[in-house]
Amino acid sequence: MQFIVNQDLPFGFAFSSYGVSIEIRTNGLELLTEIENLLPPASCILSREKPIDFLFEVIWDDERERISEFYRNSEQQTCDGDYSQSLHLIEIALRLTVAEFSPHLVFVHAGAVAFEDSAVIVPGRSRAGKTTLTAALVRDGAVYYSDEYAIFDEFGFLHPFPKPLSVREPWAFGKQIDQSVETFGGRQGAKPIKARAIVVTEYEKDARWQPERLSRGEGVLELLANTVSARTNPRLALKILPRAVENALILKGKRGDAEAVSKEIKKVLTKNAIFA
Amino acid sequence: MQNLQKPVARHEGLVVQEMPDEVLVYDLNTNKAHCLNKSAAAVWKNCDGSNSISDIAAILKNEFKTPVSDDFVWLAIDQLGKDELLEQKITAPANGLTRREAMRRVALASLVALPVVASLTAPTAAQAASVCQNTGAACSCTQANNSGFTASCSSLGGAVTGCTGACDCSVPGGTPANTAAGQCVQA
Repeated sequence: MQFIVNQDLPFGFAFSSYGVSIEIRTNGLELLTEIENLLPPASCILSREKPIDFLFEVIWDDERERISEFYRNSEQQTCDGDYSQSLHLIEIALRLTVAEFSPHLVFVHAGAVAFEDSAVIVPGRSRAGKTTLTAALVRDGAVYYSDEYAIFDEFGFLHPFPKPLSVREPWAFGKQIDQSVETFGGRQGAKPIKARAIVVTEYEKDARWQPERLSRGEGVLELLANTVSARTNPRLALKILPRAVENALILKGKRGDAEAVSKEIKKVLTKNAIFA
Repeated sequence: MQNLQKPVARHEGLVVQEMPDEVLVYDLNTNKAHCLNKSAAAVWKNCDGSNSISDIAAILKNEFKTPVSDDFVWLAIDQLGKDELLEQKITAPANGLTRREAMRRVALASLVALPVVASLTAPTAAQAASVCQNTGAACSCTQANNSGFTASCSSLGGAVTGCTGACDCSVPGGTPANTAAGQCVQA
């Protein structure tokens, strides 16, 4: 797609991530460097001549030393007065754009880990306790894939979305703080693998994990409820998600302590070594 | 008594994906996704405008190798109609039974799993990613006493449309006494 670039925004670069190409334009050279550090995982810089899918225009106000406006394909986006908050908004918008418009992959908001090439997917919205359970699984020896997006390809294989875990810390007033997977004694997974368990759960104080088993079709609905492109590209989601659950056990139920549930999940995987 | 109504499955505006024992349907008009279990899917597939309710019951009897009553088919037709998966909603002949009573009666008489359609409304991109889209979004904390707490939407970004993300509820300048999640709503 060709865009009319604002001539007042002389600095910029284009990149591609998971099949989505984005050009960034701005009038602040230092700001451009900051934005370069916010690119989604698996980004690679593109040559300027290539057509792009999205144009992000970020206007720097030199006098007030802040980002004043921010556009995606000429559509104005929400922008906060605070500099770091504005950068955070741009980072989120970049990730969301990639997750929603990736042409061949489906992004499910979920935690994802693996035990011996068998993936465990924990879909859920923010504050459902996804990262806490993901971190507990990593402490229990799982290989880390993501605490934000489980990415599935056309054959239903899980791919990593390599980013630090965003943990809510009490000392940070409940805000999310990025911590590397190594902090939890784990390592980042890279190999595409199949899901063996989909764990649909939400934290509830004192709850005992007694999950019910769902059918694979119901499992697809649970994943779809957390799929970024569910409305944008339902055909792709309905093609890929059944393949993502075809070898998986789907469990749903409230959970209490993450450490205890992590051990239960490991046990379930061992017991159900072979699924039909 | 023979039932002569002939339901027709809707196909326009739907994305259909078959699974081994279920059928997934995405309604492009309503952005609703449905999962039809084996029984509901079998009824839906046979709603071709030429089969009456009794014909469908006979087809299912043959397919499942077990008796299937008209009531069983009506139960599925009722759900499929409510989910707008039929061209026209058709109503069961009044037999004086409530839906619950009808379900109980069918369940007792049937060896086949009852027809079930599980449904959900597909999320917008921002909802799925838990991104609160509106910086001006109102955020109300859920703790009993809200005094002394500030509330703000914790994840912001994207275009300004609907917002249903979580929000932070914390005491300004101190350790949060209660960080129970509130709900960001569109301002």
